[in-house]
Amino acid sequence: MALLSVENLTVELQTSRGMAAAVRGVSFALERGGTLGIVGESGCGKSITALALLGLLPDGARARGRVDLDGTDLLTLDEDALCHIRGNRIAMIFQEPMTSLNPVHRIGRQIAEPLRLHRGMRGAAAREEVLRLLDRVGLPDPARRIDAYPHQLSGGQRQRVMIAMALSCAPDILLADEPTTALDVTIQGQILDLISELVEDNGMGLILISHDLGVIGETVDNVAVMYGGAIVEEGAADSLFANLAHPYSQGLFAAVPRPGLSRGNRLNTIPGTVPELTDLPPACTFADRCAKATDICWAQVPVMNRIDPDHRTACHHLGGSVE
Amino acid sequence: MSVFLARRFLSFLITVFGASVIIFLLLEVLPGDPALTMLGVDAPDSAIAAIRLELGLDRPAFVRYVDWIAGLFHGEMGLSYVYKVPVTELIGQRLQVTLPLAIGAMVVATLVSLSLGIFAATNHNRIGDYGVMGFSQLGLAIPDFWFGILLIILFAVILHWLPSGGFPGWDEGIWRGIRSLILPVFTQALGLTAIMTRVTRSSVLEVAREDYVRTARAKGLSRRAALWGHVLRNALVPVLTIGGLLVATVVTGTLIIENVFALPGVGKLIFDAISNRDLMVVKNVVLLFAAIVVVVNFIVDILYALVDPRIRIHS
Repeated sequence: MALLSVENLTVELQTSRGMAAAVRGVSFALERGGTLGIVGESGCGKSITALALLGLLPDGARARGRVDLDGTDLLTLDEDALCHIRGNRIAMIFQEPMTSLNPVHRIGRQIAEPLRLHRGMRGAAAREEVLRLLDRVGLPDPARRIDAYPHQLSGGQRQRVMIAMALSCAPDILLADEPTTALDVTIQGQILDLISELVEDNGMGLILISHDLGVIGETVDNVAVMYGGAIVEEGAADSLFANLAHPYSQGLFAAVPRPGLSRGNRLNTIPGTVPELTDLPPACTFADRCAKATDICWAQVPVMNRIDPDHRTACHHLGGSVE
Repeated sequence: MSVFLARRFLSFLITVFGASVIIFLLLEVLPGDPALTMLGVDAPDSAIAAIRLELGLDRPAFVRYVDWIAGLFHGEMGLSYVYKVPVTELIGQRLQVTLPLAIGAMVVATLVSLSLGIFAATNHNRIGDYGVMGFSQLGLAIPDFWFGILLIILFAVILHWLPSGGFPGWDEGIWRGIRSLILPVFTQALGLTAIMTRVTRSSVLEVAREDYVRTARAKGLSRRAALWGHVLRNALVPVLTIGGLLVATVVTGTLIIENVFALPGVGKLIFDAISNRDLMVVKNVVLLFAAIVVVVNFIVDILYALVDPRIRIHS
């Protein structure tokens, strides 16, 4: 059985124009030690999906479906039970290391917090463990930095602190939401390498969320491409990137700037803009921006078709065997 | 830290010096001759000249200013024209009423507004929030002298729980002194509470949306634990700012409150002094008010640094 299995997850958010589905029937599974990348534009529902796993959706949001962690449906748990899961069995790293740490507390205290909460560690034992964690995530001179405030650290160092914090209780699953987006390119690689290394060493499952195909491609075994709140294509990273099937995935890939392209060539873009959640087409959410769209795309929600043994996509205009 | 303190002390001196010049000049150009007020408009010129000589008003303005400031450095504020006693003595007596009143009002306002503001923020857009906001709107709209009169009618006239005004002096017993200050303190706290409640509420709401609060929740902290551990301290900074500014309102507000409750405080002192053209008292009390406001802002600056380590580094 998979460690985490998400079935038909739907999340509705409260907007000024009523409830809007930000996540529509998303399903995926993560094995113990497995790595999954979720890729898509901003607003495609990837971060909301992650927050739904932790039960940290914004006020007024509703989640339906199943999120099974070791056979327990997290969506049915009450707040107390979720507090035992958060930071303990599922930990999360956020995009902005600048704003994700509390500016008025020393980093040592912030890293020790989950240890105190979930492991009952205090005082010298907690401090020792924090030092070990800081050392593990490669923060130089932990003994001096442990009493630093976040503003005294660089962006990359703060992200290392975030990782140490997420790692502190040896979670089963690490959710990394755009962990390198706010960092310099040189630091990005270091942080990704660190995450990969820790995931491998600790046998954690990893869900890496990014809009950056390069980041995803280098780090994970399986990939899910999200658009308009739904997964439009998923599969093993190798076969998915070798043969992008869904028109949206192709557009996303074509939009990545590549060196060597002559200056005269314009960067490929996907026509149209990311639609508002409330304005999404009713059936295939990509229909209004898709060059291949026909009547059926507006009438019928496409189901996942297998186009390869480990590669599936949801598009009416692709062959493959319906599951 | 010592450099910081030295710089702040220097700026304190400069501010108070500036205030003293402005106060002195204003009182010079304002109409109203103390000698005339004391003797009446029908007094003979010779008598008025004699009084002016006695009060030292015949000397040039600059000499009188230097005399005043030099006296201040020796802890002397001169003699009241009306009471014929040292102004320091007058102010010293009156502060025994005004200081407990002002501090009490700030303490009550702080405690109530922090509780109400946090309560409103944690019940955002629910009935409790609307209730607190309605109360605060009312508190802003009601003039404090009128609220004071309402309190007197209810607690003194109808219920006979508390005295309607006056102050027996601390010699008559601590409890009797406190009893006569309860209504004034709450009257003065009303407006402050209304403002600080709003600031606390919006500040807590804003901080609660910060990324680091989400981080705290993702670590497994409950809503309440995240509020106490990660929201409140950050939310305090704007509250401190407003609280510091409101001290000026409190200090000047004693003027009204002490009149409504017939309290022999500094506010009443300056009110009477202005009516009697007792300029020696007026200028010293106004300067004292200015100094209090500057000192409080200095304390607020230190509190900032205690609350937020980022401010510590820059200073």
